[in-house]
Amino acid sequence: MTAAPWDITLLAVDAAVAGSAMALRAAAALPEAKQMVLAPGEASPEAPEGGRALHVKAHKGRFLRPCPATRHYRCCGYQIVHIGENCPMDCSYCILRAYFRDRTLTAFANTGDMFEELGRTFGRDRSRLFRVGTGQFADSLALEPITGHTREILGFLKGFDNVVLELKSKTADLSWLEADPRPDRVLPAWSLNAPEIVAGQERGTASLEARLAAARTCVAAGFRVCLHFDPVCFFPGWEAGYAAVVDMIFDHLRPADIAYMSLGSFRCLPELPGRLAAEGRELPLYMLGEFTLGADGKKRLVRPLRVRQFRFMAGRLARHGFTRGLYFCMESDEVWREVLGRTARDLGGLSAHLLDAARNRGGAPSCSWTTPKP
Amino acid sequence: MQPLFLHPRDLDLDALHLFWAAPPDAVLTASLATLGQTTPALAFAAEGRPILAAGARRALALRERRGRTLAAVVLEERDMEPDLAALPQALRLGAVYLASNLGRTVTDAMAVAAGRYFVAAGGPEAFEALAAPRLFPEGDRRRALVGQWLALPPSLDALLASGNLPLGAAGRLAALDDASRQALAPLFHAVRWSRANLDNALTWLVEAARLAGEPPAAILGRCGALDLPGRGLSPNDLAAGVLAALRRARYPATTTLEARFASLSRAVTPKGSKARLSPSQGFEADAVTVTATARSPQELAKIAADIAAMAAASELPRLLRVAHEDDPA
Ligand code: SF4
Repeated sequence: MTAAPWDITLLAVDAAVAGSAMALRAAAALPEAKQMVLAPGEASPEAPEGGRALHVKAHKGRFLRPCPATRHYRCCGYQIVHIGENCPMDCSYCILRAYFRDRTLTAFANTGDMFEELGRTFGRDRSRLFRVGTGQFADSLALEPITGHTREILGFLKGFDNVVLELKSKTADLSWLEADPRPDRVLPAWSLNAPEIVAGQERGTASLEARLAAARTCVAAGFRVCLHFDPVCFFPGWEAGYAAVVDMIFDHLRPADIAYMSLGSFRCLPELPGRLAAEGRELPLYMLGEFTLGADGKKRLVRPLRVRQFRFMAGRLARHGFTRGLYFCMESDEVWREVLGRTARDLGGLSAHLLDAARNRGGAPSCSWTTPKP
Repeated sequence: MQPLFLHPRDLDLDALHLFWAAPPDAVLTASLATLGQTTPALAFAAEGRPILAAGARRALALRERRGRTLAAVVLEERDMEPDLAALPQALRLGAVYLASNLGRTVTDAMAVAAGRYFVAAGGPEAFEALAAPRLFPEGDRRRALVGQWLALPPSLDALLASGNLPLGAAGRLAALDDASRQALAPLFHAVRWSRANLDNALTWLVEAARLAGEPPAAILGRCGALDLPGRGLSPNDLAAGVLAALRRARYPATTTLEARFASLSRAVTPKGSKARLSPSQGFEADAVTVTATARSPQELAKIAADIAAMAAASELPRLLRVAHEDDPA
């Protein structure tokens, strides 16, 4: 083991981006890692000492993509800015396990190409609003101290009033604040979970306390934050666990500090449990829930249990005065109606609703619910 | 090799190394009566009585024929491969017995019986080195399964022999603790388990126990499965009932939904109707699917009338909302 950040013992940089600002920043941030430049077509070797490799390369495809939602469930309309792949943390429920076969971290250093594409899209019609985020194929901020990726993006986005950027993370990294972004166009966001899940199922993530303290720092700097309970896990004692973390939120934040909050029940590709077993991990209790195969081909908790959990959480949040800005990630109209008494369509469409909440303090009062069903 | 004529009653036919010894069948008895003994038995010289190494069925059959002796050849160390000759006597006897049975069809229970002998005589390594290569052709998956089975208590061997437990479940059974296996014993004795059924049953039981934070025996005690064997059910109904009880223990919410749906759809569907109602996939939507097959205009008209009656049934709204948690059936 080395003391390198995230145990990164190899920095492999493609020759095409060897002179990029990101490559230079990464080299400076990883002085103890083995550093090498890869010729075109050359594969990144194994990282020494059982550590991880960070591969800094150019991304060839599109940088802006729609979130991979399905038509069967209500999607939030978030668009992904593709900054890299894989995550140095390790959560048993992580979807990235299904996407990426190895532990190599990838960061895309051709930010010039990215800004050109984003500039074209965002600049074409400045009255068109965008809610974008970087945390889909990677944690938004896990590599920020090494790559400075987010700081570059924030600098670029200063010229686009029509774009709100959500930075979703399980770290407590705030180095991106150095870019001095517009507080009304950036939404720092944290994923939260019950303390048992954080302790037992997340490796390398910041503590709940640290995440919420970071959120409070952002609020003090004028930002509003987003919180995501995704995945909400069903395990013996979940009520106490989720009650504790909801209560903890409001030890740090006021309801008005939160632009919106999502609840997403644990769902996974059916092969995920087998992958964990292949890694020699005992199947976590929450993966033994009562699952059904959803219309999107993913396993999800059987509906009455999801509804029970969502009602519990919505009720607990309401007790703290958080009565608007709650939404469900990838849920059906049935679940929306059962928990909140209305559907995403009643809110004017989830995408529009969240865009409104993201841009406007106070969100969209006309289309928020007030009292969750008991 | 020396020929010997042994009196069958002088031989120990219950010796452990004769692990496949069985009573002679009618064919062997008749052949001995008409042709006499055509193949000699094998024996080792020993202090006192010689030890029969192979030919127990012939010896048993000849015991019934007054005055008949058993023809045997005595194996001596110099007749054997050096590796075999160097073995301790118990292992050498087992290896010779297996070699003398070469070509015989070996059932799972026979393989386990042989395995038990070798493990007792020389540990699991002796089974792997001496018995397994003589029992299984290269690549036979039963080799590993028998190895797993040998880690189980010998009391389960009779259930393998009777066909109640399949060899393929060895790994699953070995993963249970003693208390769980004991709690399951009445079900092992009452049901002829297929591998798939036993896999499901044990998976549900163990997972329900993990979720409840209780031992599997506690779940088994209250799920109702143990009450079923005494009820005079047919073997199929008994197996289905046991599986259903364990599935209910593992999936209480899902099985409750299924039961609610079944009961409400019975109430909604006219008697004898060909129209069938089924829930949405995983009860995700507040919807039912109606399926029916018609072979004539009259049948179709009847189905249409049945569907109209279903639409008017007072229970239909509850059926459509069956997955709502606040609508208990
Ligand atoms: S922090 Fe997020 S991206 Fe990283 S392993 Fe956990 S769930 Fe996956």
